[in-house]
Formats: sequence, C-alpha cells, structure tokens
Amino acid sequence: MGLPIGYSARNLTVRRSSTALTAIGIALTVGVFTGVVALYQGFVDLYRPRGSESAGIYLRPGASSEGESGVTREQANIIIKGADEIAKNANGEPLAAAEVYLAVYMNKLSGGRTNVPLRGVQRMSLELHASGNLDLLEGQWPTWGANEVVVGAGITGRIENCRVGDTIRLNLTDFKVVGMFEHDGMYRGEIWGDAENMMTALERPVFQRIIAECKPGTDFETLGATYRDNKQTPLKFISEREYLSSQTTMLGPTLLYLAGGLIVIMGTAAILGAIITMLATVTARTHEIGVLLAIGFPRGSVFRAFLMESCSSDCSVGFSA
Amino acid sequence: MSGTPWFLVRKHLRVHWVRTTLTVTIVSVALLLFCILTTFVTSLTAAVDQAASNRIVVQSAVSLFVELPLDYHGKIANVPGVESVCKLQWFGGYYQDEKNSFAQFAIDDEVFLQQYENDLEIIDAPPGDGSLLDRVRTAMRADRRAAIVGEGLADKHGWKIGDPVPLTGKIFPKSDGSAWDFTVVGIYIPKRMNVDDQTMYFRFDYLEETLTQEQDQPIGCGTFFVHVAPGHAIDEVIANIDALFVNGPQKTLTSTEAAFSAGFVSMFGNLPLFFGTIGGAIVFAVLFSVVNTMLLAARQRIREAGVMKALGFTNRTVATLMLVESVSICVIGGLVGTGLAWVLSEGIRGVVSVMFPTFAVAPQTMLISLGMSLTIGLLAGLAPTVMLARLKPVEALRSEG
Repeated sequence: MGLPIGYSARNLTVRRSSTALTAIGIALTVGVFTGVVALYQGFVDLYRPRGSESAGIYLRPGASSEGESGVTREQANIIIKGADEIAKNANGEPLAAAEVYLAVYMNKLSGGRTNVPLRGVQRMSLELHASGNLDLLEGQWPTWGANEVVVGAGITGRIENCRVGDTIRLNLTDFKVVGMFEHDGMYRGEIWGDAENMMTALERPVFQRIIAECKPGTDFETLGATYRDNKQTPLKFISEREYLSSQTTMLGPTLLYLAGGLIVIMGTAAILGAIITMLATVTARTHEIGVLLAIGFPRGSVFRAFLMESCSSDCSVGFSA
Repeated sequence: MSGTPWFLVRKHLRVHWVRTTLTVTIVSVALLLFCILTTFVTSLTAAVDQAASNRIVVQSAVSLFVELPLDYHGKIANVPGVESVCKLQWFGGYYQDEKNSFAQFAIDDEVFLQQYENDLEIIDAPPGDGSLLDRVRTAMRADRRAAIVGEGLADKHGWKIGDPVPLTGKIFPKSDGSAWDFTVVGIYIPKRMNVDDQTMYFRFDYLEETLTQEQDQPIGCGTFFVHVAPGHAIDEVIANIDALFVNGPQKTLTSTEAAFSAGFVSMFGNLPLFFGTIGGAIVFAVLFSVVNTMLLAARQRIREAGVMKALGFTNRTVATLMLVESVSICVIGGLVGTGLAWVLSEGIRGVVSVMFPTFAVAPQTMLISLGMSLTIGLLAGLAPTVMLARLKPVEALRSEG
C-alpha cells in the first residue's frame, strides 16, 4: 500500500510557512551552487586551449608576454623576408606581420580609467587573424599610412571615443576611428591601427612581436632552440597556442588555488545548508511519521513520500533560482 | 523561584548534537568565507587607504608602460612646492625560475629611503655604527648593486644580508643572456599597507649604467614619486607638473599616491563586487538555514516550555533561554570561522602573495565577522523566542511535540 501523491502535494500547501522557509533556504543554496558551477565553467573556459597551432610568435628572448617584448626593425625584416618556416600566400608574399602592442589608458563610459590594448598592425595582420572570423562590422579598415584606427566590438560600448567617427588621441597625435570589427578571440577587445603610425605617435622605435603562419610540419621546439642561440636574431619562437596558454599559466597557480578554495568552501556551505534544512523539516514531523507507520503504511512508502515532497519542492525552487 | 537555569542551554545543545554541530559548522564556514573574501578586497584597497598624503606620482598619460624621459626628473624638481623626486622603474625580473616572479623597482636610493621613512622600517642591515637605517643608507651608497628586500621575500628565498641575488630580466634582458647581479644590504618590514614585504628595491643608476652599455636607445623611467613640501596645495603642484609637459614629448598624468594605487585596484575590475555578492549570498543562505533550525528547536520544546512555565519560570526566562541558545550556536560558529580565517591567513598569503602581497585578515574584518555571527544568532532566534514567550502553559502542555 503506497501513500497517495496527493498526500505529499497537500503537505506542501498545508505547512505554508515551513515550506516557504525551506524553499527560500534551498533556493539560496541552489543559487550559491549555481554560482560555484558558473565559476568553475569560467575557469575551464579560461584554460581551454586557444590560438592556432600553426601560427608562430616571435618575441624578445626572456619576454613572457608582448608587453615585455621588443623586436627591432632589422630583426623583423630579416625574419619576415627570409625565414624558411613562414608560409606564403597565393601572391607569394610571406604570411607574417610585425606588430606593436601597448596597453593605453582610456576612460570608461561608466567613469574611471582602464587599460585598453592598442595594436599596431600591418597589412598582412588582417590575413593572419582571419582564421578567428575577423569581420568588419561597420566602416572600413584603416588606410595604411594614415592616422586611422578600427576598434574591436568588445570595447565600443564600454570605452569613451570608441565609436566610428570619434577621435582617439595618443600622446600628441589624433587618430580617427574609421571602423569597428568583430573577432572570436581576444582581439575584439583591442584597438588596431597602422603599426608605423603608432610607432611614430608613441615614439616607440621597436615592434613587440612578429606573428607568422608557419608551413605545415614546422617543428616549433627545435626551431625555438635554434632562434634562441642565433647570434644575429636571438628571439623567442613559440606557437600561438603555447603563447596563449602561457599567458593563463602566469596567472595560473594563484587564480587556480583561489577558485579551487572558493568552490570547495561554497560547495560545503551549500550542502550543509541543504542538509540542515531538510533535517529540520523531517525532525519536525517525527510524530506524523509515527502516525503513518502506526496506521500501517510500510516504511518504504513513507520514505518515498517524504523524498518526493522534498524533491518536488527543491526542484521547483531550484529551477526558479 | 529565582535565577535562570542556564545549564538547560548546554543540555539542549548537547542532546541535539547533530543539529548543533551542523549549525555551528555552517555558520563557521560562512564566516570563514566572509573573512577571506573581505580580506581579498581590503588587501587590494589597503594601498589606497594608507597612501601617503604628501606623495604624488608622475607617469605617462598614454600608458603605464610608457617611459618618461630622464630629464623630466630635473624639470619636476624645479616645480614650486616639490620637496623631493624619486625615480621608480618596474624591473620585471625573476629569481632562478620564472615562477619566482616578484616586484622589483629601480629607485634613487637616498631619496627613496628618505621618502619611505614612515612607510617601511629596516630590520636588518650590515654590521657597523649608527642606526639600521643609516647603515643601510651607507651600504647602498657604497655598492652599485645594493638592494633592499622585504622580509617575506627574504624568508621565502632564504636571503640574508650580504647574499648575492641574481635576477634574470624579462623587460631588460642582458644581451649576453646573463643575470643581473644584486647584493642584499637591507631587509625591511612595511609600516604601512602601501608597501608590501614581497618587493625588492635597488639602485636606478645600476640599471641606467648597464642599459647605456647594452643598448643605443635612450633610457627612460616609468614613474617619478614626488613629495610635496608642507604648505603647498597638492592639486596645484599636480596641475603645474602636468602643464609642464602638455606639449610633450611625453604628456604626463600626475595623481596622488592614493589615486595611482586605485588605478591598480580597478585593473581587478569587478572582483570586489563579485566577492561581495558571493559573500552576501552565502551569509543570507546560512541565515535562513539557521532560522529554520531554530524554529524546529523551538517547536520541539513547546511542551518543555509549558512545564517550565507551569513550574513558575517567567515568560522572559523561557524565551531568554531560547535566544541564548540561538546566539551561542552562531557565536561559537563565528569564533570558529573567524579563528580559522586568522589561522589560514598566513598560508593563503603564501599562495597568493604574487597578486595579493599584503593579504592579512584585518582586526576590523574579524570584528565585523563576529558581529555578523551575533546578528545571525539574534535574527534566527527572534521568531522562536517570541513564539515561546507568548505560549500559554496549558496549550503548551497539551501539545504533542
């Protein structure tokens, strides 16, 4: 003989205040737990391998990021024109570009200052970054040799002077915003302009990196060692994928431990919260359980009825949370 | 009958030990989390709150990573109201392995030691006459490669006075790939939170001379730390410095040390808000669990309350016992959680010292945490207490609970 489902259902409405309290408690618990899972997902996403395996990045030896790097004009010429590993496009031009990188101060629309990555690019950069669905949403690409920039779609709504038609001042030079672009990766948060114009405006005589599409079968490790020991062009040469993953590992241990610790503590709190709430609910009704058993309902069906009650209330609350 | 039977509180807590343990645990976990999250936020903002009031920072208006020409030093020093100017350049090197990255700054040693007299305290120096500070000052003047390091950093790597510290430069690599050599001549501890104990300071002229030999580019400096003489308006000095370079070659952005530090805090984006939200949600969730538990505890003792009232205990006594039980559970939880945060603080700092070098649970945070545990106890105990106080003895005795 089983307890009718109506028994569980009616219980929820009859004990209104108790149900409500339990529901709120569980809702908050579920909310916290959802936060934990979201946090975890965010981290998994952060550490997901990104970037092309066939693209090579050339930095100054010892530099661990573009910001610390410097590649001279001579080095860039030697590599782009002469390096064997660099693939060519249909017109026979090397698929490589020297780029300038600097995080510049800009004002947020919501107030306050922030760092916005500024990238001086070359004609070939557009072809090299096309694999990430590089797409011009509005306006046009900058005219080469002109003081013009395009802004990533990720910053247009966040940063001052980042709509098409606006003017961005870099030190003493004005740059006109002529377009807005979209990209799957981090480039959507950057401002791009002609590398030469940026170097002049910022009085920075060196590039920060060279990026190139390498021929299939390029052995990054062996070639990396060759470049490191090269007297004429000592460089750090790694694949784009390795470069990007090294950027997250730099943040790595700290953020990982931090998130791990948070997830464990929050999870514990959430589970304890649920246990306490359910324990309170069940203990409050020992008397009722006794009556049900005395009437002759088997233990199993009483257990099922309570389980159903708790599950249905928790699930409905969980969904709404 | 006089006196309140306090022992009943203990008895209740012990009889329902599963419930007591669970509730104490959840309160302590919540407050542990609260303390840690709050500390992350306060350790970020401490440098802002404790910045020196007469110190201003000159940097490039374009980017933190753009260096200013070295001749700016003299030009800034000539601005009326400027008492002293100290160059401060981020070095960005590591010790032995790239994992051992920490902050290093090239500074003008004499000016720096004077400007930071109230911010850091020298605790170890080479043997000699005079105060520790004097000995460090002399030692720094004597050796181009001299450096002072924070106590935490020195402990981490086992550095002592006189030890050589080779650092590989990531921003300033030597052309032959060799390391930069430094010698520890002083160990300091922070006096204020605008300094941390995980940093190394060394002589700017060592950097300058070496780079001059190494490269043909002009050498610059990222920031100038300026002390404003007493009696001069800080805003005016700031405006005068920026006006000096408005037409270049590099436009400057001068701000108070507090505003400069706040710029770094804002790089963490919404982290403070995010932590605050998590902390708030958890404390709120725990509050509800505890309310539920206390309601249950009250319901279970309706009969007992009836008996007590029949025996002549006042409504007040019966209700007080309930409230005290709720408060003691939460306060014990609060003590455990806060204490745990305090104990773990050092260990956490070891792990996150790169990003949060001043991580330490502040006394205020612990007080707030304990205050919150008390509040949770009072709030959770409120409804059950009122219920028991209003209870009529006859009805209570009839209850089956």
